[in-house]
Amino acid sequence: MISVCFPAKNEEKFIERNVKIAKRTQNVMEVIVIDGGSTDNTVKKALKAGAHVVYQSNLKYPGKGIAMRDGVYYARGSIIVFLDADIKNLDSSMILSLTKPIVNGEADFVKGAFGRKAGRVTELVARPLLRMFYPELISFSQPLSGEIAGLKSVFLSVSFEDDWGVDIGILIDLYKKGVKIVEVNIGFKDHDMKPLYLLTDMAYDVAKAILTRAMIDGKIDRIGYDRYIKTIPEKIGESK
Amino acid sequence: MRYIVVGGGHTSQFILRTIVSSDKKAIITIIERSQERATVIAKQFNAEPLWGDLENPKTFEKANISICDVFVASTEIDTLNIRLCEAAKRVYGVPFVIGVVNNPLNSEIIKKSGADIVLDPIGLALRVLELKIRQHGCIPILKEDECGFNFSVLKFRSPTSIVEDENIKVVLIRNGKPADDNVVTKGDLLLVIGSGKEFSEAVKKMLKK
Repeated sequence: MISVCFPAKNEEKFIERNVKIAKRTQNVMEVIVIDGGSTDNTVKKALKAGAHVVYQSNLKYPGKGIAMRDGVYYARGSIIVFLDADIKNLDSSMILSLTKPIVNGEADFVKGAFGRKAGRVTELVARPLLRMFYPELISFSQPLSGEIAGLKSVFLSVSFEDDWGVDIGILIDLYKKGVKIVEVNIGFKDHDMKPLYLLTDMAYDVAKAILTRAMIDGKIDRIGYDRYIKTIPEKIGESK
Repeated sequence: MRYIVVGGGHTSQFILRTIVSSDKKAIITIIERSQERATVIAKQFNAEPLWGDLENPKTFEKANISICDVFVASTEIDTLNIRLCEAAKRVYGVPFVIGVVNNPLNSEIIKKSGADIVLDPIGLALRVLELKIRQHGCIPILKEDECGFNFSVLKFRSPTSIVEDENIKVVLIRNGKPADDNVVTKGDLLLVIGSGKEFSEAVKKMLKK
């Protein structure tokens, strides 16, 4: 049975619609909204639509990873799906596409790819660093995608980054564990893109998640790691 | 009494101190995911360490949860604490279940899940703060020895003239900007900064005026 989780913060525009769609999808037993400190009507609308609402254990920003980890522990389903709460055109087929390989026993973890060009952080930060340290993962067209599904036991086997590094962290960790991973196309995803100035933290977190793992795996030494980590935010700032 | 404490973080350690100091005959089991952490903390509190998958009922059965008197879920993950309280109360029928929440908004959820008592440190502090604001309208935020000067926020219910004293510096803020006059009206923010022992007296004097 499937639990669908929406990490959400101030997503009143689409949360009600998205919860309702997730609820009426085949095999979905529950929809969970993990609220990250919304000041709008996100919680009210999620409850109205029939979601279980829990609140992020720690309201630090960015805290997407904290919300996802909270969702994993709250979920009762054996399969957990994570979806961004701001998708404007969510439909049941997206959830079914994500879960089908798991239900059929072809994968334990599924990464969703969607029909638009990969984002700026993916192209400028994630892919170059993956090419350097984890070239085996370069075939994933959207390694930072927030639309994922996996067995609950698989999610419980990894530790979650607190911040925007969570998605790439999970992907690398599961790859290293030898978990069966596939990427599926979930169609066109319509959502608002973040302005460039809001991507600095995200780029930093993604870089940190990849470089930390590269260091642990002996692909980069401590001195090099410190040099990368300390200079990346400045370099991103300079390039704006 | 027999206690099971799940989690070896910051809050758990204070809970363990309280148990040890208030129940000399306490039999305590500490359950943690990490063997190292469970062992080190258990040693500190003369408790039995247990480690394993916190999602697996067998971990709790090894701790003899069915005969425990008090179960404490105090991990850093609220949703895990919610599920642990639920299992302790509904599956194992533990007489007294205590749940910790890091986010006060989860208090009601953990109570409904089966916690007899909710430990909500932030919620408690916020209730004290709210009470202080309502009752006194004046809350010292930082003590002098913490920051080198006294720092208070005042709340006025009716228009009040303020007069500066040599021991305090007063800034009247209206709509987010310093005001031109010195009459405090509803909604204004008054920042009073001072140093020395005379600060409290000076504030009292100012309030009387």
